Amino acid sequence: MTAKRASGARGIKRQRTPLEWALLIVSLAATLAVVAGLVVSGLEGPRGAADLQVTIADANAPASGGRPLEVTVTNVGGTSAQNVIVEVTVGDATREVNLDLVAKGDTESAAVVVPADAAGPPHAEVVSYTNP
Amino acid sequence: MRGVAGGAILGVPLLYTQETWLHGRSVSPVVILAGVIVAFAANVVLSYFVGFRPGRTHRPTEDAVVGMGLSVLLSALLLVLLDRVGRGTSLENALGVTALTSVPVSIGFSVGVALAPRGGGEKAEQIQGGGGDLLVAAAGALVFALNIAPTAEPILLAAELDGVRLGFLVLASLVLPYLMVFYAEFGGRERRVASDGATQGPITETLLAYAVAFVVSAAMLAMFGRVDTLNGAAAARVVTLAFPASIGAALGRLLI
Repeated sequence: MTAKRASGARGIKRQRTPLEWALLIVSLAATLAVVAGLVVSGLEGPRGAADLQVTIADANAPASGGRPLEVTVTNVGGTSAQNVIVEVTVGDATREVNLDLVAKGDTESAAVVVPADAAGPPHAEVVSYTNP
Repeated sequence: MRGVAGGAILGVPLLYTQETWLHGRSVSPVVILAGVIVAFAANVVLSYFVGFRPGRTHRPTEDAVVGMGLSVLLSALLLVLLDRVGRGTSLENALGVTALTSVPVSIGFSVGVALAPRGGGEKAEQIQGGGGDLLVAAAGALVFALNIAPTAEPILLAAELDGVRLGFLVLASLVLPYLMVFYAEFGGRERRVASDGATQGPITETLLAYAVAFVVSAAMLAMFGRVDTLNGAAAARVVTLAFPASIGAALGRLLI
């Protein structure tokens, strides 16, 4: 097959090229940014148990056979929540939504469809979750 | 590019691991920071003894910084590509997942020279021509795909990735191996002489190697019952698995 590009010569103690300087500066900036971010998060991030805030609203997307709703869960606590089960109630209709993980500080959404004849404002609440 | 190649080889399997996404978001930032510091120290030592610049080991700290920084950037890029970090991800969690993923990638950077011997593998010269290259590409793809195909990650990722991201994943599956094989300057490429044939040319070889990785991925998924029909979902699963498989195919060609 093709003869690929030959390996370039590498001096043992040659001067840095402009590209190497650029890579070094960019790399140093990226590393310091991550380290600083982790330090700040560790010192000032939320602490304590998971604190899940749920909102529900009619979804704009069309759905066959019912009324589509969008459930949004935000975790403002200091611990992630796994296997989050949200119970959605509209009138007499009840549905469950399962979210695998809502990490601390994250927002996750899921869609649920209730019967078209379910009248009234939708209500949602977290019924259970586990700690990872 | 040698460092990027080494980082991709060691880092991509971890990138396809749910637990990495989970722990990057749930483990304390202080613990992840400790892991980064330990990894950096290991990278300094590895850069002194191995490194990603052959023959240059007198600036191990500088090389470790470059390796760590580029690992962070490469990890962040791949996590965004795979939709593991997005608009709903808090900065703290994005940093956590990126930092955790960058640890093995940075180790790959630091041992870039050693991952594929400069002279190629033993008896490498006996495998010649396009057919031989595609054979070793298939073997490399098989090793990587076989590790990931039985897991839930290809299914999960394929279900969550939209068409645009899948398109970019195909692009990454072509560009990254192309850069690894033709620009990373490692492996026994010096001994690989030009030959006539249908697979002549870097672009043709890259496309054919991806085709091989795609077929191997489809076969692996079919073997484990993850693909049993031809539809969009099946194609998405194969594309998702074909990315690490194409990295494996590139590694196979680098070794020979």
